[in-house]
Amino acid sequence: MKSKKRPRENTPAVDTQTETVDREQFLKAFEKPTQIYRYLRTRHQISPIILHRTLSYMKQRRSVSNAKRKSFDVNSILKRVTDQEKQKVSAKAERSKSLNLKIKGYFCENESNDRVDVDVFLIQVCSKRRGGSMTSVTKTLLRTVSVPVNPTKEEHHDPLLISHECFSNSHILPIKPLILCLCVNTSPMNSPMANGQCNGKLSSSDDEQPSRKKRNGQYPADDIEMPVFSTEVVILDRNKKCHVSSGDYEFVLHEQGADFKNASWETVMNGKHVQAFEVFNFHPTLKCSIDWTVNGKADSSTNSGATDATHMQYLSENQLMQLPLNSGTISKEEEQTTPKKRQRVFYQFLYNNSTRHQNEARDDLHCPWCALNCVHLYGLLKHLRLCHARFNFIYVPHPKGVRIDVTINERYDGSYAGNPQNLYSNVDIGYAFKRNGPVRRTPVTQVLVYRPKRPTESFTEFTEPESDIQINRQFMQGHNRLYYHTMTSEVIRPQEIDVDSEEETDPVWLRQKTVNMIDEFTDVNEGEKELMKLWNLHVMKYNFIADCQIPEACYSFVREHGVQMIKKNLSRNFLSHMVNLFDFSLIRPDVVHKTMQMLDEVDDSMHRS
Amino acid sequence: MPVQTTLLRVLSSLQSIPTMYCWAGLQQNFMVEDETVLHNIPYMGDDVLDKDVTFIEELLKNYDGKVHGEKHCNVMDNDTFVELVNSLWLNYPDPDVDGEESIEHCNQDVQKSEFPSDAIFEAISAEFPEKGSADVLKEKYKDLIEVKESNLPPECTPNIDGAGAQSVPRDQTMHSFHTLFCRRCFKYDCFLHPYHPTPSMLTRKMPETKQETEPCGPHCYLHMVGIPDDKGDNCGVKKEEKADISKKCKTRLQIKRKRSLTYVKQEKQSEKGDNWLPGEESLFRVVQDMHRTNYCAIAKLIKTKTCVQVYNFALKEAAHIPDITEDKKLTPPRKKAKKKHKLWSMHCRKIQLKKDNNSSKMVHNYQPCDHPGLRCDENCPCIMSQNFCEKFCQCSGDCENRFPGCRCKAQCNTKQCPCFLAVRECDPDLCQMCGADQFTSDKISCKNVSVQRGMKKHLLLAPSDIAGWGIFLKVPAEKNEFISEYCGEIISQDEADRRGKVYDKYMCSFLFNLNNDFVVDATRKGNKIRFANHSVNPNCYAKVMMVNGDHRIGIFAKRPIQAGEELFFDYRYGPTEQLRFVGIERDTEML
Repeated sequence: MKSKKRPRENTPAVDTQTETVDREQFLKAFEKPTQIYRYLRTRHQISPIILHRTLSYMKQRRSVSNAKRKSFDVNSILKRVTDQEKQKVSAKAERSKSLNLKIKGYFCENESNDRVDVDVFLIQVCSKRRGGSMTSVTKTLLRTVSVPVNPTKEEHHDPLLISHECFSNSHILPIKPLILCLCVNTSPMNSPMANGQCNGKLSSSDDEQPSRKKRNGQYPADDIEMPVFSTEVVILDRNKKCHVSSGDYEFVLHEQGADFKNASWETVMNGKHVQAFEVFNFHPTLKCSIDWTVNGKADSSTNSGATDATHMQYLSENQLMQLPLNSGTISKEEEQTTPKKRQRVFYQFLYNNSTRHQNEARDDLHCPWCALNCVHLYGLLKHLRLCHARFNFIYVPHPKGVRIDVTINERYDGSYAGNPQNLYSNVDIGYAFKRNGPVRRTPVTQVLVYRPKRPTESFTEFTEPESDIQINRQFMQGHNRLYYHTMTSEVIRPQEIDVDSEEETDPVWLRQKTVNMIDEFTDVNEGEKELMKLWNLHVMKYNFIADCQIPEACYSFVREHGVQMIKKNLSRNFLSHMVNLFDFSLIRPDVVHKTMQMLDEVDDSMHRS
Repeated sequence: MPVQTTLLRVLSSLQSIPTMYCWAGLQQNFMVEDETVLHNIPYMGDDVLDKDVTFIEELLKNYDGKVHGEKHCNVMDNDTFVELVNSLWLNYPDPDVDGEESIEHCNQDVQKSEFPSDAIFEAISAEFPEKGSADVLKEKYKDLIEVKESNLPPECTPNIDGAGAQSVPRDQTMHSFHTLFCRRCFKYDCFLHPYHPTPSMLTRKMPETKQETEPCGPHCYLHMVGIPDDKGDNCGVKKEEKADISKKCKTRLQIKRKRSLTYVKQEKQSEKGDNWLPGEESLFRVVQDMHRTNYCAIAKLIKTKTCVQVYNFALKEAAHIPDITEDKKLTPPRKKAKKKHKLWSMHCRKIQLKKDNNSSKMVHNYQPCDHPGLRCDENCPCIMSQNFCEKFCQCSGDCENRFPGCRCKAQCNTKQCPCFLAVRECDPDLCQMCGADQFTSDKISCKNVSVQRGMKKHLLLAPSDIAGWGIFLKVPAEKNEFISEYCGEIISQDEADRRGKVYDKYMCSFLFNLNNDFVVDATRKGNKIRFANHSVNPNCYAKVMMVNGDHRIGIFAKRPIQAGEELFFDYRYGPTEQLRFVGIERDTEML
């Protein structure tokens, strides 16, 4: 738990010994659930079963709103696809833009040479979409340009043209960041001075807009013999956003292989000495101008994919610092953190009806068990109640903030309340929570008998313990357990549940039994046996219960077994049987006549066909 | 050899399910005989029997020490003994005969000696000393052979449809049908009633005494001389005179027949094509009993003969001596409705009285009474066992002890209904007002027919919340609604005691007292409700009901039950205290 524990002072210690015993019991009681939830938290981080952002009470965690869903229309899919196609075409046009790089000069006080060679590399980093294990970095040397050192006047030389092919995807995997790397090879004898001084000239050509963000570092104090100064410029970032717009740039060069200090937040004050900008004074710089040209012509407009703000980056070799790209997100963050005073949340642990502990959470609205940021207090309380059911949570308003009383839930039984079919991973019963990968769930039809309106979010529901009505009210009609076949103990699959199996009046074994029993007689001839078997099976199938049903039973017997009787040559036995029924006062003679007539008809129809 | 590799697959763990012993499903009780030998020595784990050695001994004592499949008593029964002697006799001819009269023996060739030699019996006796000395064996063989020979002509009547059909009396033709048919189950050799009374033949639904006056065709026997007398008598005269006249007519007819018998015989020879096959003769006797002198109808059923032929044959047979008593029986004066109603209300009072008096809770099994010629008095088994006479009884329909059924127009689920009051289901042949007589179940308004119609609830099996397996309701049930019948093997009380000893040891019993004579045991055969657990606060109750002459156990809802609820009933106290409870309960009870 990420919280400071401090024993509550105001509980008077009546008996120290009983208190320690009580305390041990208290710790024991809370230890187990806490451990379980910690384990679950780890497991959830590795392979989550649910995404918290999809929960209705965690709306704030949603980065993409689903507002579109409301207006979603199936027919809109086509429109979306065609739009996408259009965008692709335009993206192609965008890609056909070429980058013109004009390196104006290398500014370094300690450089003795007139000219230095600048290697221009293009680095393509490709990474797999998921699980970043497969990344390939291709570094291609585009050209080596000779650049004047500390030029005083503008020198005209050919611009370096980075064609659009470089930006297009030549790799199977999508190119994520596309980085331009500039390396200055100084001659070995002209090693720069330690703590190289700045030429004192602030990048005049680099009149940046105020909104421009900068990242910079400090040059390390080390002195290195054969320095290669380099810098990296991100052209396209992971999200295919272009960060380079047309304009003049001054890049700060860093010594390759040198360790770079951590980036730090700086506050820009009016006219004050800003350490961040000092960097231009201490490091060698490279002045360039960048132009985007469409098919060779200069492109005056800014890139459609680029953000409004021009970004300039100072990136070290080893660290790829992430910068907030969208000014909108920043303002949002600020909104959340700055305006309100920090809400204090106290957890009060109760055991045996007395308070044992009171903790104040450090991360206000993070769940103490799984460190989930619930953003809002309502979400936190809801999360605690639903995800940590081994405890009871009660919300109590507190003058300094919020108090949450935590007690052990004695009634927690750990029973599974979901679809029981999901628990079994048979061939055709999908296990929904399989951790190796996604599986098809068993389709189950459930009848919703009760769908309450989602109550408006209010804290009153947390001020009282959970009631049975809240918990036990079933939304689904009643079967949340897995049923088995009574004979085989096999799981009843959802498609089988409506068939009342193993409940027929004439199970196979019983049918066989009656046949066997009749067959066992030695003093009954084969004709009688055949007829008795047929009749018995017929009676068993329909379960006749009354004398008054027997005439109808006879008719249906002829209808169903007439053909069989004719084939087996049993008509006289059948007549004897009918007379037998008559002898037992079950039927009248006219029934005998009628059935015999029916049998004749069956016989006739058989002869005809 | 190539190296084979495969992925390691971890099978997900499954929760184990409770143990289930094999059982067979049925929806109606099944009567079994007492087991005189112990079929198997029950296994309850290795340690249980070590601890309790006396248990098996006591168990064996119950069966007089007889265990199924024990060799020494079963290796040679009588049949094998006779077979053994015969084959020895055949393969090893008498040594005495062989030695001295070899020439004669050669002449006689395969002819055997009169009786197997003593040597054979000596040899058998030497091999199986426990079977006794050679003399004993010889005597035994003699007896067995005698019995066998006397048994030789089988009781079996040839198939009436077969080529070998014989001309036999009616009783013989109908013998199998009469003896095997169960009038209560409507089946031959049923599972439930070991004793099948033969038909009384007295209450048969005879055809109207009026014969068909119309001749069946141009060649009908009715066109023959002498018949119109009969016809005229039967249709014209008044009822009270009728019996006398018909008697007269018949005697006259008999005389006529006797007279004409010789004549017919002569005639028969002359008539060609009037050959009666033995099968046809038998069939005629079967049918003739039903139709008497209606030869047209008989001919129709026999099919192969015309009514004239049948008539002639009947005359020849002279077998149709009219049963005057039966004719009388069939024409009793119609009882007036008023009288019947009086009788009925009297019955209702009687049921109430019976119910009140029946504090002893002695419920006996019903057995149809059969005491021809006697009224149901204190000697009648039905009255002695305090049961009503049922339609299966051989007593007459207006027997005082018969249950009259109900005349409810409602659902028969209150004590207003005499059937409900008497803990009986409505009899479809007696109760017609409530709709119990409907052929299909869906039209019945009566709620008191659930057991017989099998209108059970869909039950589902799952591991119980209490112990072992449990049974759950798929659809909700209202209070007092029928859930299921508790089915199983019907065994005698003695057998239940023997079986119960083993079940108590297992701490698992499916025994359920049915009445004073029988117990239902769902261990080996049963239906799903057998999985219902015991509870002192149950949601179901059991009720033993008289259902069309059989006691059956119905399980009903004690309160409204929701879908998915587990079913319980109190094993100990049914409404009639019929229940035999499980071992665990019994133990706690003792403490």
